[in-house]
Amino acid sequence: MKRGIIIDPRDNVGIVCENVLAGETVDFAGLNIKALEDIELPHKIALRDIGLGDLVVKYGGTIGYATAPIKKGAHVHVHNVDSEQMMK
Amino acid sequence: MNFMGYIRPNGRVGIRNHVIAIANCSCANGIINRIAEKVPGIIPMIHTYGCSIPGEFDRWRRVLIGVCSNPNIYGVILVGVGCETDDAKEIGKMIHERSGMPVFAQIVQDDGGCEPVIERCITQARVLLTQAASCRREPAPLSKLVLGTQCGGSDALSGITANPAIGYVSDFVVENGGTVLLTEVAEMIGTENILAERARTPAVADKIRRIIEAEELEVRKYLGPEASRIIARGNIAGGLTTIQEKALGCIRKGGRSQITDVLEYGEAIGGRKGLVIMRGPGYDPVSLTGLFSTGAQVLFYSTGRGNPLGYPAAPCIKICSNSKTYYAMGGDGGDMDINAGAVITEGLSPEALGKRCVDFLLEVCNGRETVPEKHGLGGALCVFSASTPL
Repeated sequence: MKRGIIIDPRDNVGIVCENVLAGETVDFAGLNIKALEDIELPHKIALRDIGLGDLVVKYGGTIGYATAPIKKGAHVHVHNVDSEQMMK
Repeated sequence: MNFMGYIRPNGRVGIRNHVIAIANCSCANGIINRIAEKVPGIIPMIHTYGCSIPGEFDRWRRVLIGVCSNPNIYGVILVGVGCETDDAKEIGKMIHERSGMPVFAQIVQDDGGCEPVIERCITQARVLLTQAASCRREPAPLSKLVLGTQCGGSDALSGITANPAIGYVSDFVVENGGTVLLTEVAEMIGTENILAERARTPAVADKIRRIIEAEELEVRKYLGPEASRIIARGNIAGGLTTIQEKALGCIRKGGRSQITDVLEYGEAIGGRKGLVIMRGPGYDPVSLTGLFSTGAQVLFYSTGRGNPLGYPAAPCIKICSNSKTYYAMGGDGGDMDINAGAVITEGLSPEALGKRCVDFLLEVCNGRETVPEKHGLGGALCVFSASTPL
């Protein structure tokens, strides 16, 4: 099993501590999440389903919103998250 | 909770007991070097600017007085040349009034030229060092501690391992009645609402929004269409998705407590407690000088790439975000004090790392040398802010 960390209890994304392959399970101190795709250290993985337009939370704060529905276990990054500030 | 520090005449508490020789403007730097060559143990501090750059004068005066009044300093040798805008002896008086510390000021053009000034400064520096050697550490409450936080040479793990560990330390200091400084305003862009919500009062929330918005305008002015690249391609490859995510990783150094006030660059901390934001740039040497000038006795500095920078008269604790850099720079006994990468590579829990950092901080307050101190990497630079926002 691979290891991951959750920075803040309010977060809906976690960090993988090693490169993870699709189908592998990531252990977040007892919370196990099955990766739906390959995810590289230290990228983000969804800890639960995140709906289109829902806020993506890391560090207990909003880092952006989902630009597509994100399934629990999916890679969370620029392809499915955006913010309106200084990125466009 | 107590630490063992040097109680100064104005009631502030140092965790080091240095005598410094500092230039009143860059034209006196050579004289400072000559004094330092002859007086081992003195800390030379070099001024990086002349005296008449428009718009900088008030800030430089504030920072010079602030730096010399830091309680880590027992006494000051201050050398001016005479033709600079500010009079070194007037500044010396202001330092003494604020800190109660002994200050010996000389002005080359009034006091007989360089050689007699150097001779007198050497004699006085030796006197101050002898006096300083008789100071003893005494117990002081943690409420007397001001911790400055900084990140430099960051990487994708800085915001995941090292900065949250510093945040753990910040929360500990605040819970014990002390003061924590968070700065590098350019790196707060995108988090103004999050930070403002944590403000103690609506007035503080307004100040937070104002300084971050002003910074964003400056950044856009400097970088133009490149402004969006404040989050660079390397950041994205490292897993950072938005500017907010990057900024949240930076501000995590301040922990999770309420924000009690906002200070100008290098402004005296006074009686402020809790988490305070200092307006200032991300450039590390400039930022560290500002933190020291406010009164921070200790600095906690995260790095991913392995920046070895310290500060001349304050211990700077180097926490490395990843094991690869930590071991590439010598591992245990090398250039970094703490390896936050152990969270990733050794399964260390973030909380256990945070506790380790708190213990380290307390040991450093009680006299343990940090790597930059041990290796003499504090340098002599005292980079006063120039008008640059980044």
